Amino acid sequence: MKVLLSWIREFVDINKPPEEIAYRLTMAGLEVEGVEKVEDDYVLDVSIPANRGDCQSILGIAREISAIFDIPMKPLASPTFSENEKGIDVEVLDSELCPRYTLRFIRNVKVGISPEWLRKRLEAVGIRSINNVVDITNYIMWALGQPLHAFDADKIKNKVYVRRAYPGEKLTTLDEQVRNLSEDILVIADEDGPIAVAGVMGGKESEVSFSTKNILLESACFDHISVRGTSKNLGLRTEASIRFEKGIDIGITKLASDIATEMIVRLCGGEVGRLSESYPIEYKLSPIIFRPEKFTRRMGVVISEEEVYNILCRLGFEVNKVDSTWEITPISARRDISLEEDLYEEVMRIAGYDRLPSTIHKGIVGVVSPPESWRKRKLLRRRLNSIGISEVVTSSFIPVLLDGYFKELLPEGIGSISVINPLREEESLLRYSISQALLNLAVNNIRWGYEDFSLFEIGRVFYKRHQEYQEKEHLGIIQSGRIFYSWENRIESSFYSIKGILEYLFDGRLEFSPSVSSTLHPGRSAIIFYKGETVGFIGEIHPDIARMMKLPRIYVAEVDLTIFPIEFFLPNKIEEPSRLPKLKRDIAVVVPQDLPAVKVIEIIKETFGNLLEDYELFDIYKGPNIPEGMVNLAFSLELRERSRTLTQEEIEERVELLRVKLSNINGRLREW
Amino acid sequence: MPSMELDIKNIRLEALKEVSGADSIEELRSIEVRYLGRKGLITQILKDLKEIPPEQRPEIGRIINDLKMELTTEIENRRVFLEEKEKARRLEEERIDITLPGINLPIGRLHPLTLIIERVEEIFTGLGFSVVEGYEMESDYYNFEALNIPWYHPARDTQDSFYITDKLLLRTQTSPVQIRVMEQLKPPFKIFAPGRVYRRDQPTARHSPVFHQIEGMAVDRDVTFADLKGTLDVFAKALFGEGVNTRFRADYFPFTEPSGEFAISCIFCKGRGCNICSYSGWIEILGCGMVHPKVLSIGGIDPEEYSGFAFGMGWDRLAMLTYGVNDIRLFLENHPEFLRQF
Repeated sequence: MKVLLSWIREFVDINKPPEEIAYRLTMAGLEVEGVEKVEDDYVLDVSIPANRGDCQSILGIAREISAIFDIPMKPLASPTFSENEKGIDVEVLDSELCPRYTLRFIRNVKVGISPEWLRKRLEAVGIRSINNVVDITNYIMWALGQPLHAFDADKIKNKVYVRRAYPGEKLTTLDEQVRNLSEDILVIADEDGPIAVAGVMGGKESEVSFSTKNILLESACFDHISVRGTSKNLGLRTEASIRFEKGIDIGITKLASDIATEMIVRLCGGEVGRLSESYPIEYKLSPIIFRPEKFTRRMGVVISEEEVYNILCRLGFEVNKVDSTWEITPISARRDISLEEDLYEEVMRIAGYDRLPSTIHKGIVGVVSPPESWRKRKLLRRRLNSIGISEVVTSSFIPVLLDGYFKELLPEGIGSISVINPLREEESLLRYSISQALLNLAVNNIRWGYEDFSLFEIGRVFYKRHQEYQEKEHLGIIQSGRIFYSWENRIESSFYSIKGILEYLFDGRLEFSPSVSSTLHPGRSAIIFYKGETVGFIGEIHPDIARMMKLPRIYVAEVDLTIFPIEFFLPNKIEEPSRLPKLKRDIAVVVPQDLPAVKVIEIIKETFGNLLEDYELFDIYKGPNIPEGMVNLAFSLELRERSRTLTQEEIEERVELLRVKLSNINGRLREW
Repeated sequence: MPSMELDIKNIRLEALKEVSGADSIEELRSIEVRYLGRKGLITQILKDLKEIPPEQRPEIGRIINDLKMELTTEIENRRVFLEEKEKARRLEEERIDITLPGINLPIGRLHPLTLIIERVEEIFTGLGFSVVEGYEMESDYYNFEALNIPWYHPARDTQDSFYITDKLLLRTQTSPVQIRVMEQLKPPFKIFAPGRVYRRDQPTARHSPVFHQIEGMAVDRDVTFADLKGTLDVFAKALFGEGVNTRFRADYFPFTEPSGEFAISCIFCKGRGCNICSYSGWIEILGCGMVHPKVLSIGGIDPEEYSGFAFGMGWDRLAMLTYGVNDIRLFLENHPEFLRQF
């Protein structure tokens, strides 16, 4: 809200430099976003917090300045004028939504252009001049925070009602929009129907124009919740509705009307008629308990009782000291103050937050260990980084065209979630799979000319399953192009390179089973199982999709991390290292080439049992010396019996056993 | 026996000539064998000693031994010489072009948001705070109602939400964690909660509909407003450097009372005023305050017995300030050129 320093000075005698006023207001909670010199005056742009409805006026800001600088307010004089009996009756049918309503009749007004000083002042704070009557209502609203509205009295029939709109009622507002009204909208109406949307905007029909002779000046207090609802409902925010929403001073309704009336008569001529008022329940301010001792304890700074008392008085509050408990009655404008803590803030902000010392709380330790998800994420990030995979953080929203992607590879019955009110229709979908976001990123990378990348993300995914909205943490990995390259050698990404990452992270304890989906290459993809449960997937992006998205061969893997406890990744009991020597034994097996390698590995594991510490498949060979349809797999085995030295004979026994087992699957051991 | 002496002299001359002419270790070895080997010439002469008169034997024997030693030394010297020569040749042969580029193993990097949160974690855990996490899909109750923001509250305007159903939304702030923590823990506790939040804002350099916040909260008997200021001072100086000044001013939030806004002196212009701090010299980094008594009560904590403070800051913003990033959208864009600078 823009305010003029000269205007503020009409309410409080402040002669500090504008920069100091701006700084002190900012520190006290009213942020001054700009100070601009206009001729010999200054315009301050003040940002009003949501709770400070009282500061949406020159008066309110002057009150703040008065309290901050300890300069008394100039008294607000009530104008006097002679009234006649002409007027119109008012009936408020819903006094909960309109606790106070006044309507003043003024006859024989000369509507015209405002005097220059008035136009200039309004212009300086950003209000467009319309005509003298409307300008005065805006001027008073700006000065006192009370929205006013002037009706052309000759367009109003008989009596004015303040009531909820009837279903189906319509009103053309000042902005020439036809508004469809409903029962939760409060309107001002005459016998014929609505003439204004209460607290938001007047009707076009009863607008004050240059031909208007007689006017009705409305000054009222409408319920802030109701006005906010109406404003949202109609999608219409006005200077009036903004003020009502934050709450205005019910104590000033009539005074504002009187001041405006006096000004209208002075500037536009006319005769003052009757003021009709509805104010069934007078607003009562209730005192709030304030304990200076608790204030000191909560703030952690000593401010003398004398100063505290002084500050409360400067704010215009009534202070009634009863021993160590004080009773404070705020002013009617300060509807934001209802609790003792509200008063703490008042005292503290006027005293200045810079008076607070910087201390650290001393208390009993209440330690909470970090959640597993946090520790897991840190551990996995470190491990992934250590093998050259970099982290990305992508948006939770993904393009709608990726809906359905990877879905068949996740646990059955997953439904995607969209937001009802997206910024753009094509960005309404929340990711149910990190791979969706990574695929999207891959498209960008390729477009930017980066073909080699190995990336991971650990983040939340969202889906509906079993009628429930679920939020899980997934790990996603994507690889493309070369993993490693130099003028000497290179490693290309592949199904196996990404599988190797999972084997490293999950210590080879995941199971892979061939999968069929429309997102991944049918011959190069797998569903990942852990203890019989689907936990993720791995594979090459389906060539059809790659072609459509102009992608080279891209490999992805995804695992639901919520399933794995931290102990899965870090032992809580280690295995003692054995000092006995390991024995190395290389073996080569020749098996039918369509036999999955995992079968051979299973047989080796089974044969050597716990003697087998580790194994490496170091060569796969087809060709001369190997019969047609067969493949040679060369393994290097590391063998050890942890409690005693293993003998060569024992190993040979097992090798013989392996020979027998291999023959059962049409394979054989190859002699070196 | 002058003839023997003559023989020895000739052998000596011959041997020394051969040794100094040897071009390889192998040749030297065969020379050594020929003269000093078990069947070598000098060994042979020694055996012939018994055929000369006994009175001449000591003299001749000394001469032969001297020759033997001399030759051994000469061979050794020659060997060292040849070995050095061989080594030099091999080293020359192994010369490579050291101007060729190195072989770079792939490097795994962390995202800047992770790098920042690791520093923040260090600072807050050092102050006795523990990390907790919440949900990104939250109910209207936790995101607003329980935080003293009823449906009609004007504060909702600045937090336009993405709704999934009437009552389920993407959280607009990390503050719902405050309620969830109070429901689960008994005071005293000090927590911080980093996480992703969503607001229905058009993406610009300063705003992103998907961004991140870090919430903090401490509840105990006699936690003071000054404790809040002290905690934030420590945080700001630890993250932005000892030389940074801080400013604590009044502000408004529905779920804290009193409320404040915490700013640091602009780290780019040192408070003199620049583009980034809008010429104010200050950069706001967080909103905070004493936990509102209504919020404590909703969380099941008696506001007469306990008090607490809470704060919430922009996580992306901390990273923007730390790394001089001018556009918040860069974080979720993940451009390779952006990421490889971390």
